[in-house]
Formats: sequence, structure tokens, C-alpha cells
Amino acid sequence: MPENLADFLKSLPYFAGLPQQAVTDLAARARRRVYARHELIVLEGEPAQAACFVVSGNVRVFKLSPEGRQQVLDRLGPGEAFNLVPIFDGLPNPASAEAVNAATICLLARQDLLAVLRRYPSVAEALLADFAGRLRRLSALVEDLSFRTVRARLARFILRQASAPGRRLTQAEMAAELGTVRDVIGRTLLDFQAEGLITIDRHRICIQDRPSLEALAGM
Amino acid sequence: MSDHAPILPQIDGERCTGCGQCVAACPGGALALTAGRADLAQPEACAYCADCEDLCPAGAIGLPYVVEAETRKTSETQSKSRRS
Repeated sequence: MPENLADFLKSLPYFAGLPQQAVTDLAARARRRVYARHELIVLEGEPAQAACFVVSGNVRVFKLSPEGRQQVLDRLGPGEAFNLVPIFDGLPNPASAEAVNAATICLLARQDLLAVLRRYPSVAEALLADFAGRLRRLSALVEDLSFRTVRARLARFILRQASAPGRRLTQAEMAAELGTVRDVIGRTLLDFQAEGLITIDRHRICIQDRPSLEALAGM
Repeated sequence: MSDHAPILPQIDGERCTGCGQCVAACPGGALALTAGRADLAQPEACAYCADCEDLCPAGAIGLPYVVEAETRKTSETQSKSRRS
């Protein structure tokens, strides 16, 4: 973890082009807060307090249905930002965010971020690039949820996870990412096993028939 | 969670209500109630069957999974069957 907020802010792509004094001034206005595992950082619909930057730990950004079902919009790690949208439109938080594990967050008030953005165009450029990336990811999520069945989404998810090994997810967490509920994930995994697409050995889901999974995923 | 820690059922002590359904259901006796909350008292007895996760009314238990690419044996088997 960086020793001070100025070092942390300077390490971010948004502020890397700023003069050191500007970074120091910004850091003096920033706040650092520590959140425990599963602690809520931002609540959807509440007035936006600040832009948030992950110093350490991991954050899950999500929306909740009226029935309490969670849809994950993004998962963030150190150096990444969230709750930037309200900075620009002044409206309430569009989604909620919670700490996946113990997380340290750097908070920048709206007026402070806007002030530095107006003075230094490099900050605006970096933020626009960040927004473009988010828009692409959200477009892909909409495509996934609208056009693919749960089976196809889960097949695609399994293939993606196999190429980035190490990440551990419960069935409930898979459901929150894939726009369904835990029971459906459980049944679909068992169906995949019965069809010979995967094997499940305790905590290991191992791909057995990649071509069929890819065909199911529409890849 | 550390990538090197053993992969075992996770119990959220804050969500657990201490109802004991998971303890009663666990076929291996891996779970117990400790200080009024479910506890993986004998992790070596856990069969990873997920009965506890299915039963928990509070959603306090989760079994983590990791996805692995096919084993080399599986890949070789598929390559042989395609060539024949």
C-alpha cells in the first residue's frame, strides 16, 4: 500500500500527468477510509459524496432488484475508480459498492475533482478513456444478459475463468455476475457435468469438452 | 482470500443466525455451533457436498469454486479421437 495519498494519486493514470504540486494539493483534499469485508461503501440512490479510488483490497459494484437479487456491474482492484458518474451529472449514486475484502478507499469530493479536471486537460482525457472502457464492458454485459441463455452465459464464464486461473467464486457470486440465482447456477453446473462438458471435484470445476462449451457460449 | 489458503466452505458469521440446520444436515459432521454460530469445526470431514449451502436460510454459507482448463490427459484424448 502506498505510504501517502499523493504517491497513490500520482500512480493513477488519471493524475499521472499532473505537476507534483497539483497532486500534493489534491491529496491534501482527499480522504482515506478503511472498509471491512462486505461493508457498504456507496449506496445506490443516495446523494453522491465523492469519487472513489481503490487504494487496496477489492470492491464489487452492483445493483439490487426489489426482490434483493444482486447484479454485479463491475469488480475493481487497487488503482481503479468507481462512482465517477455522479461527479459529472450531479445525480445520485447509480449503483451500490461494497468491499469484497478489507479495502482502503481514497475519496475525492466532486468540487475538488472538477477543479483539477478543468485546469488540467490530461485528467479529462484519462477519465474519458476510462469511461469508454466501462461503456464497452457494460455493452458486453447487456449483450450477454439480453441475447444469451443462462447456459450460454455460464459456459462463456467458465471458459473465461479457465484462462485467468486462481479466482475463487461461490455459486451465489457466479449468479450475481451472470444475472441469475444460485439454484439455477447449481443445476446448470450439474447439467454440464452430466453432459460431459465439465467435471466437478470438490471445489474444482474442470473443463472436459472445450469445443462443445465454446459452441454453447457462441464463441 | 489468499490463493494459497485451503479452499473450504465460507461461513459469514454476521449473516449466520445460529439456526443449526447446516449442522444437522452435514453428512460428515464437519459443522458445529460455536458461540451460537455455525463453525467448520472439522474441515477434514467436509465432503464439499454443498448441503449446508443449499439449506442455509440466511445465505451465510458459500462454497468457493475455481475453474481449471482441461487436463493434458483430456486434451490428448480429444486430439486422438479427432485424428482417428
